[in-house]
Amino acid sequence: MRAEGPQQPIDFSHRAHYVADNLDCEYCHSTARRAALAGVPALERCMGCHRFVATAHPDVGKLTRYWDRRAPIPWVQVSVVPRFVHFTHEAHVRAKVACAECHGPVEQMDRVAAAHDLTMGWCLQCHRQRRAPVDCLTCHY
Amino acid sequence: MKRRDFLKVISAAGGAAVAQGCSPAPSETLIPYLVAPDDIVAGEAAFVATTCRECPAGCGVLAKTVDARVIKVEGNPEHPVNRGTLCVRGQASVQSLYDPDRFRGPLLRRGDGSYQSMSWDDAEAALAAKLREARARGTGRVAWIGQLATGSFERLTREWLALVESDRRLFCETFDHEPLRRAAAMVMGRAEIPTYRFDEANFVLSFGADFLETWMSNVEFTRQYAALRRRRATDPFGCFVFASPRLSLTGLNADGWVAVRAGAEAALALSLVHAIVADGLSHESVRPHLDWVRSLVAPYAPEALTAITDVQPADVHALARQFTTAGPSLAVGGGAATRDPHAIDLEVAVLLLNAVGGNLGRTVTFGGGSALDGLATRDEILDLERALAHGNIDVLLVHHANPAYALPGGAFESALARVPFVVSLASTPDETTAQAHLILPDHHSLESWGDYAPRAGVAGMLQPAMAPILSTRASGDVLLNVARRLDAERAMALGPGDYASYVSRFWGALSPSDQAWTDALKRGGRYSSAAPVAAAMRDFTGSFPAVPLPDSRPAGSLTLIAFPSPFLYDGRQANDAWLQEIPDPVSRTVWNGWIEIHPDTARRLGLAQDDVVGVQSASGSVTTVVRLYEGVRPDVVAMPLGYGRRAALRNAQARGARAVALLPPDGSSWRVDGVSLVRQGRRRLIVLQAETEMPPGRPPMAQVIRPSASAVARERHLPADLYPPHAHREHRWGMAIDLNACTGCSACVAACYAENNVPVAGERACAEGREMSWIRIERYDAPRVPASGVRRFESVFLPMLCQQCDEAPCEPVCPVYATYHNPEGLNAQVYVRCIGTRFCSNNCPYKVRRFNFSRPSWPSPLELSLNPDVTVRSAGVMEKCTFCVQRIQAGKNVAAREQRPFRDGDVTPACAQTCPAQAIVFGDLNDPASRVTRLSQDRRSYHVLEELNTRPAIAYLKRVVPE
Repeated sequence: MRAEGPQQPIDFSHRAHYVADNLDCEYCHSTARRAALAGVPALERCMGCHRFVATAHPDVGKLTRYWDRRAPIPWVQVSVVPRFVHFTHEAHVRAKVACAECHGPVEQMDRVAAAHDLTMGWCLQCHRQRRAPVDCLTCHY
Repeated sequence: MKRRDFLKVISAAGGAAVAQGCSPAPSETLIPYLVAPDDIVAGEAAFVATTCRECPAGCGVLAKTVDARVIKVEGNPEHPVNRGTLCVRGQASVQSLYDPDRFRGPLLRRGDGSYQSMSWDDAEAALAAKLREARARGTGRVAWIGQLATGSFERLTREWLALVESDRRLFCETFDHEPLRRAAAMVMGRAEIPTYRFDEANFVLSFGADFLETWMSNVEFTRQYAALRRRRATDPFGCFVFASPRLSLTGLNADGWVAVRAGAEAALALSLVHAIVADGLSHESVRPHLDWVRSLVAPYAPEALTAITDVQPADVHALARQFTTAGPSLAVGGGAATRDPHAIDLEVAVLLLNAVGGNLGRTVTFGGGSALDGLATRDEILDLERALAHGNIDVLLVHHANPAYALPGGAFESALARVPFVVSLASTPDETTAQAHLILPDHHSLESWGDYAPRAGVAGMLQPAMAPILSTRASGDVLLNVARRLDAERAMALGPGDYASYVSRFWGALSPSDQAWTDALKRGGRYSSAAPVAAAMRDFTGSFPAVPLPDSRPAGSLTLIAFPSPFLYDGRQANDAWLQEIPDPVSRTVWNGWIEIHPDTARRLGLAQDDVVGVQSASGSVTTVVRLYEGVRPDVVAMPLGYGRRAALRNAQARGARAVALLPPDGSSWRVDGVSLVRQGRRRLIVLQAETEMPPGRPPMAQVIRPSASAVARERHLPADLYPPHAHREHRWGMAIDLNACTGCSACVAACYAENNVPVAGERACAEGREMSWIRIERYDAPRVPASGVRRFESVFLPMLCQQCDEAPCEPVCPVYATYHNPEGLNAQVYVRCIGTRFCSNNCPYKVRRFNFSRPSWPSPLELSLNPDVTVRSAGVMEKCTFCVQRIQAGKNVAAREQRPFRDGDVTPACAQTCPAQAIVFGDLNDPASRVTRLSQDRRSYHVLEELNTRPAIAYLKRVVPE
């Protein structure tokens, strides 16, 4: 587990949003329950609060400038599953796999780092434990 | 935020970048939306209901979009024309959308003939200026020639032309069915295309009408015909006879072939009427007309016409009996026989046949309001041609029509050169656009607003499935903008706003949230059934001239006929790589045009397969390659339309020869007598999966059954296994393919290309046997009955794909476990594990595995069409069909989401989904109630190469052939 993840365009702190504001993961990653991708929140979602909240914070200032320019924020991807793997969040949420089991304690991180390397051996150990399918075609097609 | 605005944002933000793991270009950044759309979840498919505009049939489609780009089209189950299925050309419309040769913006021709790009603003101003000049010179100096339009676009063009003081507007289609409309006017007093019900008929007689491929509405007719075949599977005499000098794909599906002499189809049809009346077989409903009908057909006794038709009287009488005793039957005419000096005679005779057969009001009805009724006649086209040539037209607008290629003789092209200002609204370069002064590229139909009503009661909607990918502009918007520049005051009559709002007003939408409007958007249109009107035959003896029968031609003279290409249609889709690479169902040729010659004729002329020949007629000459074919009469040679394109199209340019160049210049005929062939050299014609004669003495690949065959137990091979059988605890996926329904149309093949990111190999790789398609159509011909009587040409089309064997020969030979038997019975192929030994392919008796000999490429922007649910394979990897495993996983996921068990029908592979005949059924063989289980146990069921003990999961149902 790396201590520090990649530098992001905005120093967004998951810890601050979870601890201080008590936001649930799915408040922003809203499609994890119903789709393959968990979803990165639209700027509109950020601005919903930050039009009013912490407007003086320098990073919120950055966010506002992105919004004013109608430019999306180029977040750097941290949890990367290779292209030949068809991973779906929906099935894992349904199986009651907690977000932290793959992503680590994101709620304690200021800058998110990958908690696990997401390799096939690592996936399979959990699949075996939980008697989830281990057929290759479950993920590779 | 409105959906359209969202699409604009997405397009500005770089389109596909919103997907994290799914966009084809690797992205290491996650680009979120600015504003999340309500109806789109990143990476999830959304379907947009719109209408296919590749041909005038007007099938409803659901465009599958992922991250705001179209990746596939499927039929709209609600649409009455196609009911959820699509043909090969409809499937390929995605290729037209992402055609790399599409115009990227407006172009103006310079003095030296080169084109310069310009802004839309300047382009519209240039057009407005020319229109202003034209209008100042008088009325009728602006003309419009375009593809068939109905509804809002029909009204807009009419109103717009009125603003420029003109009413010269022609909707043109190469296959226009004008003789049929004129015949209906003569016989029924209604100049219109009838409605046909192949499913209500018990017997079909087609005079060259290719209703399973290009004729009018092939998806609808294929569905109806499959229903007829299913219903008549126990009829000992068969249900379909094809009368034509050449067997098309439709003809190969027939139970009998009457190889009538080219041009004598009308004589044959009239002699059939004669036989029916003389033999006392006519339907009671026609009794009041019998006297005049008898005298009308008096000169056409079958006995007197044998020398002209080359059909024996006994066969005519037998056919007369079959046609009239089966209950409602159906006669149709089409193809070269309806682009012939005798075309109207034939269509009159066909209507008369339907009348004496008692089919009027049953399988042939009137008042259907076909869109084809709005097509220009040949006289109108010639009239416009004269106006152009005489300099009476100052501005000509061409909208998705290509008369310079489609019309023979070159007269239209030279007339075009006399027009001071030609404006093309085409999307891709074509022969007409090459003469345009200004090119204003239209959106593709999948990017457009609009509507199209193929017939009364079926109003299909066009709505953009995605934002335009190029700097194109909807022709409707161009017309509105130009009208406002020209005359702001009079343009008020066209209403405010853009063309999208024009369309919604046309549909009576009071507001964007209007219930009826949103309902139409959701369902892809408004559908109701229009009741047919009562129409009666009338005595037309006075207007029907005695048919001057064709002369019997000198022995040895060759007649050429041109026929519509099942894939390229009239040539409009020639640049779609799939349509070039999928073998033509009849000739099996890829990436080239050809000329069909009977083997006996070839022998007589000293020609052989693959000979390059110069073909000369009175009108012109072309060079093409010989394809031997026993399905043409020995005195006929046949060439497909749609080849020999001159325009700068990477897949179409200079492929094959333009058959139109050989035809009479007045456009009256697709038949020309007295052609000569001269051998010029050799060039290998690339033929994939050539037709095979069923070998005697061993179980054939494609099997047939006689209707009288009793329920015989299937031959079973004893399991001789060293290993215990596979358990398949939960599911055992299987498929049943009904060879009695399959027409060989190849829609499944195109659907598979789209769904599974199957690469296009190209001409050279095909020549080396390295085509990549996962499913192919094989054709097996039974040994032919000697050439007398109503001939049999028993062909069986066999869709061949991975059989997902239980004892798969491919599995044990893989050294790295890349292919293995999965717990649900699939022969899995794990691409990332494959090291490319090709042992599996060598060991496969069905030859359905494909190896990537080179790295596949998708010329931009075709990569946008890739399905993110399927891995794009790379060089050195074996690939194959897995029953669309991505759809199986998605179907299981939906069942789990809805907390219910898996149901039959939850998963439909792409091939089964699009099959117009619904010949392919997929499901779980572990479920005793599933359709696939029931079909697999049918008396007609068998496995291909059963004797090898591979125990496939695909059961084929034998084709029923008459006794």
